[in-house]
Amino acid sequence: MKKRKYTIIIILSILIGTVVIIGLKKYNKPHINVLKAKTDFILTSHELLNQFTENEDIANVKYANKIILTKGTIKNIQINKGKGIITLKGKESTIICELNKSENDKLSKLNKNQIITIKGICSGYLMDVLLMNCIIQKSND
Amino acid sequence: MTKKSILLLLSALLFIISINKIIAQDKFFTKSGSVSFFSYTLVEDIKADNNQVLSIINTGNGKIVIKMLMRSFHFKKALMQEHFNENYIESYKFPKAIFKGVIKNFSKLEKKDVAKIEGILTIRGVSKKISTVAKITQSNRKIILKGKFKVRVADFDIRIPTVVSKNISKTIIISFELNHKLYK
Repeated sequence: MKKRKYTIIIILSILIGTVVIIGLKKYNKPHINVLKAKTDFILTSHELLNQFTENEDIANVKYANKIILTKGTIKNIQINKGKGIITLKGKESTIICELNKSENDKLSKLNKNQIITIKGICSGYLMDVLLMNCIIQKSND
Repeated sequence: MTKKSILLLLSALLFIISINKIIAQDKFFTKSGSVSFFSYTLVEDIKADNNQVLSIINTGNGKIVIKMLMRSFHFKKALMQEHFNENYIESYKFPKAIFKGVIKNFSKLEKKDVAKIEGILTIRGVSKKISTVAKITQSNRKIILKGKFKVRVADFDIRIPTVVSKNISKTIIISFELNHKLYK
């Protein structure tokens, strides 16, 4: 009788333990690692911009919260609140890429008018297409 | 001085004044403004930052338009960011928050002053009147606005599940720092 009571207690505590661990893991799950994450769309900066300026709603459904790999020409390089900001050229609108802090030391090697490939999460369109958590995939001199 | 030269002088003066008026109607803007919000409860504190806020001030009439993407808010915990976008704000349906308002008595404000701002804040397609004050610092090329105000979660029809209702405050503090530059 006593033995049975113990096994029930042990099984119950294991069950509760796993539930708590799974819960905590879910609660503390890390942000998407853009570097390792699968790319959803590969397109040039002009293609991405054109789709947003043509029809923002359709482009939003397609690209928002998706991982984008885009190639474009650097218009501007800035730092805002400790994060690098790279603006890619467009006709009127641009693509504003908010970089991951991990990319900060790469900024000094970049120049205006350089062609660059950036991977990041698309957050949508204001006056420009905004990408966040970006990493520099490739920079051609 | 002849009548003609006085007239010439007067018209020159008028011309300068009118040019000044045109300059005074400049637009100041930023694409990298900061908006944060905070929720403090006994269970946990939640903070999120957005540093890609668009804001435009028309100095001619003191009108201000602020726009931001909900998906540009960064949370410390990925799960919170996911819940915020997918469940509470429904960013796929309502991607932007927009404030359209006016800085009261804009032309009479000092270089460093406290400005009253009134307008309509739209989140999740729900519009609410906001009235707040902000610290304003201005020069020929810059206008900085800094302040904070409170909103009630319920005012914007945001439904928080009862399981987490103790984790999220009923009122959220929204703070902003908008560093506008002269638009050339």
